[in-house]
Amino acid sequence: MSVIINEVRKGFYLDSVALMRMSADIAAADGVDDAVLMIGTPSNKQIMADAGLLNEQGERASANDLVIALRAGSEGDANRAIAKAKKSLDGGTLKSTGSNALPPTLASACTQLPAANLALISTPGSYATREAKAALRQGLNVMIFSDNVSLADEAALKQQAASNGLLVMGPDCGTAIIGGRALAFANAVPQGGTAVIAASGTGLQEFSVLLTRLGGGIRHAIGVGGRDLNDDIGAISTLTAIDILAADSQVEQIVLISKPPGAATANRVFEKLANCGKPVIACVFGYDESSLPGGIQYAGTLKAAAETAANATIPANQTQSANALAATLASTRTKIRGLYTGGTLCTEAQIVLQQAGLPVQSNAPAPGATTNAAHQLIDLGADEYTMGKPHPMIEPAVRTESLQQAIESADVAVILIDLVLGYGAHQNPADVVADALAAAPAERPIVIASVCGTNSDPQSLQQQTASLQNAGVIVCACNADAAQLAGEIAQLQAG
Amino acid sequence: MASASARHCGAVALRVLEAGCGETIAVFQSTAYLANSAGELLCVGPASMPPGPINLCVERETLLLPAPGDSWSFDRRRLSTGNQRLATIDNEAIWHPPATLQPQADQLRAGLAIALPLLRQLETLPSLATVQTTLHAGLAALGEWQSHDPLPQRAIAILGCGEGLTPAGDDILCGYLVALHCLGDPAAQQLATAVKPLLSTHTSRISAAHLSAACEGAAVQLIHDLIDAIARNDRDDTSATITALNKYGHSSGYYAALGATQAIAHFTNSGSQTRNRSHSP
Repeated sequence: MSVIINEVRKGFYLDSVALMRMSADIAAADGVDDAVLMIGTPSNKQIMADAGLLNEQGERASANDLVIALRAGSEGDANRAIAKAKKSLDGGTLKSTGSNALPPTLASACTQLPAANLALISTPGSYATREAKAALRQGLNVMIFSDNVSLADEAALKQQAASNGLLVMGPDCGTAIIGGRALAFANAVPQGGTAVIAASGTGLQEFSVLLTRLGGGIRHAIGVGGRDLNDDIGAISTLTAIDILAADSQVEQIVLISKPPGAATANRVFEKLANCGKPVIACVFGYDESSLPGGIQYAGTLKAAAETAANATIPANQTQSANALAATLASTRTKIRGLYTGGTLCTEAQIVLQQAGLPVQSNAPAPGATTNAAHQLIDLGADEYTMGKPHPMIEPAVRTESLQQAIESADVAVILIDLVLGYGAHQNPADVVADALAAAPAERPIVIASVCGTNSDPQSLQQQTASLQNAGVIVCACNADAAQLAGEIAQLQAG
Repeated sequence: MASASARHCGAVALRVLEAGCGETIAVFQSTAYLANSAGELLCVGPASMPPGPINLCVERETLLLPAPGDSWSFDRRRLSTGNQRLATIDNEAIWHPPATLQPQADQLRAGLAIALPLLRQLETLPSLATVQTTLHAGLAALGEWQSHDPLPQRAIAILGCGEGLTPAGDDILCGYLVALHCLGDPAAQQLATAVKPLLSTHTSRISAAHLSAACEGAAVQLIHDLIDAIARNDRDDTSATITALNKYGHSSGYYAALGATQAIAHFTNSGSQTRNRSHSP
C-alpha cells in the first residue's frame, strides 16, 4: 500500500532551478512513485491532490509555504526520501552547482545516469532524428515521442538501431510501458506477464486497461510507430521487439495490435511471431482469422484481444437495451456520429460497425470504410484537427464544438464518444462532456461513451464513469461494446 | 566599499524604496527580495538582471546580498542594508514600460507566425502532467473569455499553478496581461480587475508582486521586447528575444512568452474587435 508524506516549510522560498532539481532528485529516490516540490497555492494543492500526493498536512499549507509531497511504496522508502529532501532544504546539496543539475544534453545525461538503456526523445520533429541518432550511438534504445520525422529518417534510424541490436519505438510513439513503468500517455496498470506490440497510442491503452479489468497485467507495451509495418520500413522495430519479448522469461504471451501490414512485410512478421516460442494473439484491424498463420490466435477487436489474453469475458456494465434506447428517438434520427479522441478507438469502432453491416466513413478510414457513408466517425486527434491546438486527450474541450453540432443535427441518432484517461490526459474529461450536454435540448441524440482507464489512473475510471452517467450518457464497458450498441440502435432506426 | 549606481530601477521598485525602510524576505543565488512596511516587494540583483517594474539592477556583476530578515533603508536615494550601501539611484535609471503600441493586425499575424514555431521548439514539460493539463485548459479558457463575463474557473485555476518560485500559470497570466495592455485591448483592465483580488490568496507573495505589476501593464523588458518584435514582424528580434526569454528563470520566460503570444493570437483573431465594440458607447 502506498504511503503519502507531506512536509510543509512555512514562508520558505527557493529559486525555481533548485526546486525542479530537488523534485527530480526526490522522485528518483528508491521506492518513490512520485514526488513534487511546490508552493501551496490552491491550484497546486488541487494538482497534488489529483496526483494522489497530498495529505492533511499539505492541505493546510498556504500560498507562501513550500510543500514537499511524495508517494512511496513503503513507509521506510517514504521516510528515507523525505529525510533526503529535508537535508537538502536545510543547507546541504542544493547549494552545489554541478552534479545534481538536470542534464542539458544527452551526453551529460548518460554521464549522470550511466546505467540508462533507453532515451525518450520529445523534441520538435526536425530535431528528433539528430537526438535519436546520438542516443543510438550511445547504445541506448530510443522512444521517439515526436512526430514529423520523415519516412527516410525513420528507416535510417531503425536500420542503425537494428544493426546494433537496439530498438526504436516510434516516431509519434505516444504510449509505452517498459518493465511495468508507464511512459508518456499510458494508464496506471499492474505488472503482469503480457507484452504488447502496437503502433502506439490508444489501441495499446484500451487493450491494457481491458486486460487490467480482467485481472491481467502488462510486462512491456512497445509502440513501434504507425508506419513500422509499412513495406517502406519493413517492420524493423516490430521484428526487433518480437526478439526482445521472446527472450524475456517474464513475458508469458505476446499481443500484436495493428492495422494491416504491407504485403511484403506481413509474412515476415507473422512467421516470426508464430515461431517465437510464446503464445501470440494478433488483433489486426481489417484481417479475418484466415489471414493469419496457424499458431497465432485471432482477435477481431481490442476487446476480443483482451478477453483472449485473460481467458475471461468483459461483463457488460449498462443495462438499457438497444430497443429501449431506440424507442426514445424520433424516427428521423438514423445516423451515427463518432467523435473520437483516440485514433485506434475510432478504427475499432469502424470495424465493429462494418461487421454489423453498417457502412462508415472517416477522416481516418479503417479498411472497408467508404467516402459517402451515412455513419461518420471522426478521429479528432488527427493532424487536421490538432494543428495549433492541444490534442483532445489533453484538452477535450476541443471536441465540444463538434459535439454540439452533432447534438443539433436532426438526423443523428447516436453520438459515440471515447474518454481516454491516464497519465498526461486531461484531469476531468467527463465534466467537459457533461457541460456540453447540460446545454442540450431534452430531445437529442443518444450519447454512448466508453472510458479507457483504470481506477488507479489520476482521473479514476469510476469517477469519470459516474460523471458521464449523471450527465445522461450511456457508458459501455469498452469501445467495442459502445460501437456495438450504437450499431444496434442505428439498425433499429433504419427500420 | 562605495555604493554602485543602479543601472535600472523599475517604477514599482522605486515606490517600494520610497517607503524608507523594510525587511529582506528572501535571498537567492544572485538576487534578493526586499519588502516595505506596506508589504510591497522589489527584487534587487546584478546588472545582468533584465530591467522590469519591480527590479533594481545594480551596476555590478555580483552583489553582497543581505540575509533573510535583514533590514534595509533608503535615504537620499541610497539603498543600504546593514552597514553596506548597496546602490544609489539616479533619475536616469528609473525604468518605465514602453508606451502602448499601435498594432496592425496583418503585422501581428505575420509576427506570430515567426514566434509560435520558435516557442514550440522550447516547450517544457512540468514534472506533473496535470500541471500541463491545467495550463492548457486555462489558456483555452482565457482565449474564450469575454471581458464582460466572470473569469472562468479554468482560467483562475492557472493562478498559482506550477512548480517554481513564480508558478508557470502566473508567468502565463503575466505575459497575457502585459500583451493585452501593450495592444491597447480594454480586456487587459477587465482581466486585471479579476486577477488582483485573488493575488493574496492564490499565489505566493513574490509571484503576486510580479503579477501585480503586470496588472498595471508592466513586466520585465524582455516581454515588452517580444511583443514589440512580433508587432513589427521582425524575425531577427523575435528570435533573439525568445532565446533570451528562454534563459530567464527556469521556465518563467518561456511561459510568459506563451501567455503573450496567446493574447496576441486572441487579439488578432476576434477578441480585440469584439471587446472594443463591447466597450464602445
